[in-house]
Amino acid sequence: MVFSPITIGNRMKKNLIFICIILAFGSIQAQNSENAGSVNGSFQMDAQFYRPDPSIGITDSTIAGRKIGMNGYGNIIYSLGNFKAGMRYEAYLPPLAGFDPRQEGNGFPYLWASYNSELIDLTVGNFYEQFGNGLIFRSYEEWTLGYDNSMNGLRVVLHPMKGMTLKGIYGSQRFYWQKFERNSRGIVKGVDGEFNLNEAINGWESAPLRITFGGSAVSKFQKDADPIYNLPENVGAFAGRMNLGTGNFNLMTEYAYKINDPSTLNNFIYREGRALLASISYAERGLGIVLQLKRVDNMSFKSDRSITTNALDINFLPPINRTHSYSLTAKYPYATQPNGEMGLQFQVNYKMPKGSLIGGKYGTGIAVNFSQVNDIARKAVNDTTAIGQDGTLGYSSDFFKISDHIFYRDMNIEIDKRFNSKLKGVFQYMNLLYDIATIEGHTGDPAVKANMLVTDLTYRLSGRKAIRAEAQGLWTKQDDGDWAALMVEYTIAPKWFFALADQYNYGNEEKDKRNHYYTVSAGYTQESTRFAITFGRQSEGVVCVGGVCRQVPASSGLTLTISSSF
Amino acid sequence: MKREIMIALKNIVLTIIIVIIFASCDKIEPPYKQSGNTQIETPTRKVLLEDYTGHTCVNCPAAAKKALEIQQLYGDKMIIMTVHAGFFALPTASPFNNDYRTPAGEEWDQFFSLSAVGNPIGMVNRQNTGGVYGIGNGNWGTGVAAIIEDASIIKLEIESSFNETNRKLDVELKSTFLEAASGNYKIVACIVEDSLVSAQRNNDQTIGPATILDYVHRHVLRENINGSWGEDLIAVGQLPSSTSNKQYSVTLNANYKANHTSVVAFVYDALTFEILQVEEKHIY
Repeated sequence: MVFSPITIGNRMKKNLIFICIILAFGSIQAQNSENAGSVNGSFQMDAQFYRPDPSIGITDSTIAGRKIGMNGYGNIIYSLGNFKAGMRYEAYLPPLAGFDPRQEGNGFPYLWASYNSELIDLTVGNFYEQFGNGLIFRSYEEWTLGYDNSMNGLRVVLHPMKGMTLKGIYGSQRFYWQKFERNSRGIVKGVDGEFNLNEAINGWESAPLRITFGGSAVSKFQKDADPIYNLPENVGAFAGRMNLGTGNFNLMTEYAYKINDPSTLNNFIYREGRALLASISYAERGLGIVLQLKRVDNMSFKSDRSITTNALDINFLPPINRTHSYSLTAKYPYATQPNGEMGLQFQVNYKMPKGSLIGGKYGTGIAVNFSQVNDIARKAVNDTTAIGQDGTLGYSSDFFKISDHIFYRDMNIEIDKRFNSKLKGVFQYMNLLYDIATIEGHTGDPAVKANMLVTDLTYRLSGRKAIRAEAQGLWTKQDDGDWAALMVEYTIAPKWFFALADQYNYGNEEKDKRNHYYTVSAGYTQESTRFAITFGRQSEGVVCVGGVCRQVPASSGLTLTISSSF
Repeated sequence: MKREIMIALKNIVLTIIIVIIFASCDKIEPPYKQSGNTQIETPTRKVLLEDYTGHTCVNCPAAAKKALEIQQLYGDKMIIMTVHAGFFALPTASPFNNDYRTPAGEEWDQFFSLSAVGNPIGMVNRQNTGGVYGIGNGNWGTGVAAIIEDASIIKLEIESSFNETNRKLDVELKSTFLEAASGNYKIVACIVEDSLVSAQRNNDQTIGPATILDYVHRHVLRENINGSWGEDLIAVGQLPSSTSNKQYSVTLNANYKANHTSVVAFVYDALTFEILQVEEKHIY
């Protein structure tokens, strides 16, 4: 269906009515200053001006007339006692390069009102929510990815007794600007309960053992009108979790199960889904140790069977890999493989005490991190069925058996040291194995084996002025070959920064692709308002947040960011 | 009183949980695929499934297989046209040096925001929901099933003659309105070649290895005869039974195998782009 002027008119009218209600509350309260409401919010606009840059593959035809892209939002929340209401305006006109073209548009995709009391929290309209670690339900928004799977419906949170929280959600999920219509996508409903024994039982508040239990159930309904498959219209998923803490130790675990949910992503197999997440940690002053384990088997859970992109996810499978922040160490980020993965992460953070041999005068921080994710082992269900064949159970998989196929392995060590009152540094080494064929869909390409080094030095010139320099190297024989990166940043705290940076793909096998990706940037911050401007090139890459990734194409031009909160 | 409220609340919550757990699961037992004959005896409106693809798109072979499965159900009431367009269709180093892109395919791909969303993706009679035309291959069957039994307001016939000597192809499109026209309609004619053999990236082990050197590309759009958006066919208010004839004469490219070539023509609503009728005729 095409949006008719009448439909758009009606939608605008509804938005205006909503705005008027909020303003009316405001004006009523303005007359009654003893119980005045409050308004807060935030604003951001990211605009990019693109220019042709043939040496990195950007021509007039790739820009296709879209010389400027803009992503922007404004978030307003009105609070009055137990009542709150809010709205978020968004505009993608057109979206920045690398964002899904279906985002193009503008309007109010997020409108809500809520009432909170000691016993009950009620929300109508749009909301975000998470059950446990999100293995069977998480709705959230991530601006940098252009990701939003917010619910549109009803949410009830009950606090029937101390230490007990019960949640219920019911609604449909956001899919860009496409309004929910009958059978256009699934309907999601779910309940979650969490019980904190230490809060619930008198006398257990300061018990040496801290215990929290939780459980959740989620169901999605999507009509089956497929002429080939007999599809389940109601797909249920269930999860149980437990958190135990004693002294400096903490153990967290969650197990999730989903009934048959054939979809495009799992090639329409009828196998059930399972996921396990466990974490054990120890923490004391100067020392932190974490071991995390994860097993995922056929756990993609979306409110539309046909979606293969980052949209309409009902659940969230948390990554257990270190999130790197330097430009080259972040070049090959891991994206969760919902069809199957087994992984572990082990991290030790240790602060060498002041005055020790290595700790020196100021102490030295050392972080050692190892993570590896493999595929799960799969076996054919019988002699006549290929593994993963559509319209079958797909495969069988031994819970404890790991496939030899490594998706991702990251070994890194980071040393954080202050040399004197003016100079401090961060030094990092990283060894990476990255199955680019699976993670980025470059089927047939060999896995990237890379070594990386980072040196990050900050020198304080005076009380408010500092200069920071980053030097990075990435050495690999695969993909685009070797890279080097340099960055110099001058900061006049708390208002100004100026930076020069360059990434150089000097080891690319194709000589005409040995490009420099330079940027010049500056920023100004006044209270909670920030302006930043960057001119230069951005290399092609992948941006991931929480294991969810998007491809970023190479671009060249000027970027302007304005953000503010009030 | 408070205790009673608590007990009532717990009972309500327990009831909700039990209802959700027991009422919201459809465990499907084999057979998982439908075996009934869904052949419709009296075809009315035909359906065009456009499969937007590319030879370096790893998930596209699985989508093409799905399209053929759906076509097996509906026979000649459903027509497939595979459009190579966008990033994954770019010719690169051998063996992916073939270029199956067409100006019309590229234009449609950009206009309907298809490959930019990600391949494989398709359109079913160019219908849109909430402004979105592209449909993931998991919903192609549902999309086709939803409209395959719709009544048609247009009867479309294709006549063609092919001269093997000079490769001259004459095409005549005859459209007959079965009821009064209520919009502006356009007609598009294309040349489609079937069973082109060349390399294809693949991610489905049940189909083949990661690079299939002798992949059979089915129903490939090769050329557009009368412009990407076609020609005006009829204006608002045209009476029932009115007919329109369009004639075209082209020289068939020497690289096309005539015995694998057909003409695909479709009539669409110029306002919504929805395809109202489609036909295919083999030229040989």
